[in-house]
Amino acid sequence: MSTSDMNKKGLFHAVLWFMAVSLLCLLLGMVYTMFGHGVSSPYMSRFYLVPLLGGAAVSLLLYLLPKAPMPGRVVYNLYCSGLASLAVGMVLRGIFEIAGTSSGYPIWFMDVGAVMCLCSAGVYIAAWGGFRR
Amino acid sequence: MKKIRRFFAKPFRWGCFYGCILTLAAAWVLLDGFVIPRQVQVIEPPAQASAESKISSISLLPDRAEMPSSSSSNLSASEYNEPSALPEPAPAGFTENGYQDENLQLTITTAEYYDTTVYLAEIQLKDASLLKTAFAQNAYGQNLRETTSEMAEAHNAIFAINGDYYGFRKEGFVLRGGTLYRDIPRQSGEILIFYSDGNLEIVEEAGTTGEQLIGAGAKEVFSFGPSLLVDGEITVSPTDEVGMAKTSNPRTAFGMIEPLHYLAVVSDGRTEESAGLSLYQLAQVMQEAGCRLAYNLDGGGSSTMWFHGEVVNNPTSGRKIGERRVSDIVYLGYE
Repeated sequence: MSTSDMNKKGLFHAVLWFMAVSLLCLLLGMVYTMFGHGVSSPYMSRFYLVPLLGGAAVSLLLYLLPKAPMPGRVVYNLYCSGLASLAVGMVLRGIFEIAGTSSGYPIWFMDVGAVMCLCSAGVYIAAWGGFRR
Repeated sequence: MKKIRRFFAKPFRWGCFYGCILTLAAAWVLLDGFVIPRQVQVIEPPAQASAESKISSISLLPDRAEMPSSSSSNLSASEYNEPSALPEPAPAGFTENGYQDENLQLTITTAEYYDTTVYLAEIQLKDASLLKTAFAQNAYGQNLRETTSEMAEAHNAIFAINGDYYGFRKEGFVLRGGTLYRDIPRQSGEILIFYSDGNLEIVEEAGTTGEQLIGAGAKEVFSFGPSLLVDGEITVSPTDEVGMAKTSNPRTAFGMIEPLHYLAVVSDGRTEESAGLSLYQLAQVMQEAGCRLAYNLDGGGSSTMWFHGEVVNNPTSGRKIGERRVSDIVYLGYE
């Protein structure tokens, strides 16, 4: 595994950033729905959960676990990029649903995001296993 | 590879790079969905083939041959007849709230229901071919849009309402003027079929094929819904809504009192003067007006009724009064 350059301080800052982004996403979703003439979409209403649970909660967990190795920068960037793709895919799906139409593209954003998150998590867990040995 | 890693090792470089990629991709998806026009097929002038030639032995209704006889009306509407050879609407036929000539009678009234102004257009035809549809920019495609009045004027229409806004979706049958343009049924929902003999039918879209529709003599098919009335009974519940919508809205609906005797209804909404109707309230309006079958078309900011050069209702998206550009209309006319 590459030399880690994430540290506890960096993880703590990441938690704060993700929580701020989650709040922004929540407000965006609420405002967009408010101007939608009563039309709502669960994707638009809930996309704030991606940075909240996937970002802030996971970063907080890594920060608090005493024996968890710090993720490498590449793995961490891949994971955050996956979260961003997932969130953007949900926003796009929500926009189309509120407009009353559909598109086949948002699902690609969500699929790519999920794959990126799973790959980075897999690499991290595998590295953790090697680290513990 | 090392150079790339070193480049992205700096803080925020990867974030900015991936953010740009994501933004461009999202922008393209939105442009593709809402803006970029795609003209698939330009509409040729209609052929002069008779309606009977398109009706085969295949029928979606087992007893379509036994149509209800028409009740007394100003226009006899029992059998298919060739319309009188009028090249265009008779100017003398127009009144302040309607139109009448040998082949068609139109009466528009305004009423208040549930704090909402509702416009009811009663249509009686001698021939079903006088009820037509038109596409924006006279072409079938995606993101092709014009206002209802632009399309109506382009076709020298007598009267028009907005259609089902097919261009906003990638699925749902699109069959107009007897031609099938899109043979992709939705997985759920109902379609409204307008037959060449003037009868209307509502069927489930899933499980129906374009071939069946053509074989049954369908002249126009609309894919929006839901159905509001079938056999005179309301088919929506007080809590039903279109898609994810939750509130009362401007509405457009088309119903049949009997074959060749129809009712087009458009309601205002999203304004201080008019709250809008729920689907159930719309169904009640259609039922009270005497419809035996009624179907919901695209509403909200799309709802527009046009007559003799003027927009009759107050179309609004909720922020300002004005027509929305839509992809298709239903109109009465000779062209």
